[in-house]
Amino acid sequence: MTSALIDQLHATGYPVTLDALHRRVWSGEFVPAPAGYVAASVTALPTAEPTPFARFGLAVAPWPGRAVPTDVAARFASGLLDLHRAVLRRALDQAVRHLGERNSEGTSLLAKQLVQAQLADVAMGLREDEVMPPERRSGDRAARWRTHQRLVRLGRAVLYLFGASGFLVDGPAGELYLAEVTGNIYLHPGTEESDA
Amino acid sequence: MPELLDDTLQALDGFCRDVSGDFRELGRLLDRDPDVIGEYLDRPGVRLSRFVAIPPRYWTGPEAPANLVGVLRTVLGQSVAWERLAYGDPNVWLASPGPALSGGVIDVLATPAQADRYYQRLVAEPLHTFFGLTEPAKGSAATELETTLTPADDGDGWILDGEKCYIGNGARAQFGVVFCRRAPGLLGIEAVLLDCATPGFSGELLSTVGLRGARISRMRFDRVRIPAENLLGAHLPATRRGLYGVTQVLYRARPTIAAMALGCAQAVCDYVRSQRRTLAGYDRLHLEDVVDRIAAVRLLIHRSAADVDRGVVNSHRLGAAKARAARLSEEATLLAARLLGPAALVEHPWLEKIYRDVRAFEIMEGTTNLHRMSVFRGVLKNTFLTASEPPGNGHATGH
Repeated sequence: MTSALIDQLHATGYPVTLDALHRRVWSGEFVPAPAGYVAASVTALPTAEPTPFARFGLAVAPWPGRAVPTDVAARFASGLLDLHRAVLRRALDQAVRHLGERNSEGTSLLAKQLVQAQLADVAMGLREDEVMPPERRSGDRAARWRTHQRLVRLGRAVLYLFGASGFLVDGPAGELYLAEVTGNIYLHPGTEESDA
Repeated sequence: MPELLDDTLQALDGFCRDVSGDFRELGRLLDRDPDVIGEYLDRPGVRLSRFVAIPPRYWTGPEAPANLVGVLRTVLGQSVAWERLAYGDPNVWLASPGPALSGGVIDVLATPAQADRYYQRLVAEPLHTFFGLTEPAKGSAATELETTLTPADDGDGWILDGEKCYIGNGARAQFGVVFCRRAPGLLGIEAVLLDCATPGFSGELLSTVGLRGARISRMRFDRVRIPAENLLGAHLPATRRGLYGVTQVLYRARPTIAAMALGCAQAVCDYVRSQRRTLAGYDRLHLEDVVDRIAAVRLLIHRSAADVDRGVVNSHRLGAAKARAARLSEEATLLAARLLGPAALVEHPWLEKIYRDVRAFEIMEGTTNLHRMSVFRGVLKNTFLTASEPPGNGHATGH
């Protein structure tokens, strides 16, 4: 994950950054998921049937047809995980700012031990992900799914730090939700392997 | 349903199951447009949601079977009912007109004349109300709230200034209760009735990830005049007014919110079973683990609710029940999205909706972190876990 990805996310939001990932890994084509769907921004898929995801700027459309080369699918899946990490990293920074601006009982929320411990939990989880050996991090579909599940749990943990604002579409909750949804569409290894 | 429920409570559960048969359909519609509830006011479940928190003496006809009217006024009864209604869909009750939490404030703080005025208005028309406690900078910390109530310069009532955030129905309600500060300190907190047509009031609907039927809102008060007769609790001693009203309402509401979360968790597990009838191995183990914990948390909720009905409040255990239920509902949806396979959130629209909806329970009635701190205090005081407590028996009391 690069700071450029975080900057891009900041500038354009999750759906448009997802569009860029499509273009980057498969010569400008949309990469369909194994389950036969494409997820992209509502701008990129203007004719897609409306779904509940549209409120978040995401379109999901059935995509029958061309098979995806294995290396393209793997690069796209790894790119999705990088995007999820970028959302998380941005959310952590936002959480620190948010908590620093909030006061309770005369002190900053950042000074509360419970809050500090929760922030540390999230940071440790991200660090663990950073140093994970590549084959265990994204070596195959099962590894990528396990990584996705860990990132989802970290996302929920970081949102708990935002209180009620962690339930608003605008902000980290909306982007983390999209990372969960795209992972569910693209990274799920199938029910037979889901315990892997 | 739970093993500890007597015949009346089981009958209540069955009644709520009957009237909530269309809640999945209504919930789907509310997720698209939260205001659509106005078109379904005659549905039995919506009608029950509207009238259940109105004292039966104000009803103009039978709104529930006679044998269930009494138990519907108890916290245990409401916990049973809310779990079953949320099993259908958690949005419908929250989107429905009626007193909701503000009615609890009226019951504790209003004079008989104020209560008559409030409830008669709600019986006459399907109106929405709000419970204005949480603030943008202070969350639901009632002791720290900053919205002010000052005497009007002309001596005619009061002036309300400030802001509330994350208030259910705040931007759609016709009236409700606002907690505010008249003076420094714990005894300086008051509750007032606010009519939303009053100049200086504005409400804005917030876009939330889920539970859109709750119509979570931001509200602003810019020199809003409050008539003297709308100050609640003026006839009561200072120790029984604003803050006391807040805590009494929240103690009564907490088990019911926990029960709603639990109803959703149970619904998700049942949905998974209906879709994958042959779960095996770790899949089955993980699902059964969640089902085990649902059963345990249900007992925590029912015991806490029964305690509140007896006037005995262990706030640490009350908060723990809500915190565990909220997290369990999230875990159930995460597990379901895994067990139902690739693109489950696309191919199972109900799951996708409830997956978003249950996230609200984390922030309703205090976040899990707040309750964790309360549990910690309970552990230190030895009122959370009691080593000497006989298994299956009552538990320690304390605050």
